[in-house]
Amino acid sequence: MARSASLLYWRAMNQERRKFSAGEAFLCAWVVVAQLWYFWQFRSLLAALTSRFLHRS
Amino acid sequence: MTGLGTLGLLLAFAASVLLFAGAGELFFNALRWKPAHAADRLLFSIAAGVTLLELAVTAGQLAPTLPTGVRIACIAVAIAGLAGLRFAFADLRECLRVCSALSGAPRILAAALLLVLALEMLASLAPLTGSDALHYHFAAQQIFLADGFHAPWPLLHGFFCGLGHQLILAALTLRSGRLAQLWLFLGGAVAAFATLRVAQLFSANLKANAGAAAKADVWPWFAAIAFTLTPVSVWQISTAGAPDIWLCALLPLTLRLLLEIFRAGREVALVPVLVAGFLAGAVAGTKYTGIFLAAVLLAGFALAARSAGRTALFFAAAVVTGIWPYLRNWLWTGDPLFPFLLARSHAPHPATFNATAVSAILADTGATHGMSLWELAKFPLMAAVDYQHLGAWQLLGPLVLAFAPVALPQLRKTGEGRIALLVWILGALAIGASSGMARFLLPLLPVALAASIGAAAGATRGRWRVLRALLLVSLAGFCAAGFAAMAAYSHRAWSVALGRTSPDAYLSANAPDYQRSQFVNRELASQRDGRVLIFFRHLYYLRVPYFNGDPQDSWPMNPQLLNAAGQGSEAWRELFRNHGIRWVLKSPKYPRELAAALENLEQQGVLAPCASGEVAEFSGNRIEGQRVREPITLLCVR
Repeated sequence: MARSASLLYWRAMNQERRKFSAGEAFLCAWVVVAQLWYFWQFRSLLAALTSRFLHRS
Repeated sequence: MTGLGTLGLLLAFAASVLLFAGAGELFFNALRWKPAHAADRLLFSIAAGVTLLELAVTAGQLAPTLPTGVRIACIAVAIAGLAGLRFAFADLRECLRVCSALSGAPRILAAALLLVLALEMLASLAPLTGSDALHYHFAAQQIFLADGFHAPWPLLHGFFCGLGHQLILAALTLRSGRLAQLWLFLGGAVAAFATLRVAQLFSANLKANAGAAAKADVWPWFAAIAFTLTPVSVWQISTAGAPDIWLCALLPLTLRLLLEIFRAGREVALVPVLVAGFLAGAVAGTKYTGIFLAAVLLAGFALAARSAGRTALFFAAAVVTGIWPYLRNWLWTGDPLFPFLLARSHAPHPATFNATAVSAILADTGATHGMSLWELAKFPLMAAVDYQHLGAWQLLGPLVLAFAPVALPQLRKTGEGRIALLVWILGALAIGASSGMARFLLPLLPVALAASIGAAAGATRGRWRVLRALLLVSLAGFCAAGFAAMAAYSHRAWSVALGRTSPDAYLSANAPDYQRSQFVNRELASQRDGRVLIFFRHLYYLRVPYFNGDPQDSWPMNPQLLNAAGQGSEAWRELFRNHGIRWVLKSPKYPRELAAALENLEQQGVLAPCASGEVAEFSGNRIEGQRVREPITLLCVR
């Protein structure tokens, strides 16, 4: 799976076409998943801070 | 603070920024160096002016009377600033002209950046509440002012003070802690514009770098706004009171200069090399981890200049600028990186070595933190998370992680990109390996954001429309969420800065140990002689002579000596006598390492209660806002 992903990645990086491709889709997925994963790591902290703010306001 | 007082403070701040710029311009004129762009001239000049003040204050500290020496240093830099003022004004006018010529989206984003910075400046006008600032950034300077320039054995974090702390010392000498906070805010503002300038280098597709396209480019503005709205940046720029924020300005500025040197090739003059070394030295002198960052800049310079002679010149300029805090520590302790080298080399003996303090400092700074390669690999992506100490201070944002795969191949294509990558990745790995603390990555965030966002813009220009749109939506979403988080975090600071909340009420609610400090100040206000032994961490708001009793941060409070069998209360009596300690504060308990001995002194009648009360203090992380009421007792030494 990692090999396929890396192949897709390097194909995407070397393409110059304007048409939407599997490579571009892979990069789009990365952008979304990376951000979700990042905030998921902080879920308990973010939940605590959000509830504190909502509670106070 | 009254409205008139705030206005006066802001005017003084504006004047000081112009004087910093003037001093820097004069310095560069003397070196016959003039960057091509007015924005660069202004940014480099302000950074150089601030560094010159730090160096002047370092020299002024050595005067027989410290406040006099520091005041003379301030006057000298102000005179230099006046002499270079007309150059600073000319550059400022040129920058305003360029900004007013912006149109469309860049104009809106420029206005948004200024709005965010204005709101962060407003928050920085609130009284100081940052934990480390109250513990030592500001408190250590107070001690120097009160007791003179001596080794701060009772506050070991005082040895960590670097060049950046001289700004705080200068402002406190001028009797304005708030001016110090504004000077720290200035570091964040310069960092934001430095991020913009570095991102502009990478966002313009280097093959088709057109001036008009660069002017219409929104990506660099987004990079600058994203930096100012990253939670850790908001905290550091506005209320933290930590001089580390100046690293965020110095690092991208030095990188920008390295890229100019790379472009000049072997024809580069010696002066930019000296200036780059000067700025890298300021990075090294700001704090211990700055040495790693300066070393990475040296590697970046070697790659850019490809000349051993020029690299040696860069190194020499950096050493001359940044060596002073390390020389001071070496003269005071024999360890320039006190206590880190001492901890490795010393054969511990309780009479000369406080193992409790050293262990605590090593743990607190992450120096003993071990990590896997996978954990280390997350550092360059700003995605390292310490689950055991999860806190908002680790929130460096997901943008670098999200943008990096798009940006990295683009950066690898050019020499400028490879230099930026070297500084960014090697710097992050060095910070990760040495400290294991994600928040210490903040100085690299401007470079990482500028390079990743700028290069992603360049990589997607003319192709990948969906991806490009998604990246822009991510940037806009992050900035919107960051703005909301900033409003939620800073609204109390804005309220007190605007005069809607009294400073005392604000500090009671937000500053750790403030109520304890006020209790001590109240009870001992009429006492003339003697010190109070205190065990809490945040010392800045104490207004009576005190002695830090925390065995984890005060060398004389060595549990191995004070608890030694057979010495009984004699070791304590000697401690009280040597340091003029007449009172001991118990709030609510004594430190675990010393509790048994101090409770024994109470039973023996050496310590007797002479005042008591109750305070509300934070429980757990301050940002979570949990407070508990607890007893506080002042004991007199008999």
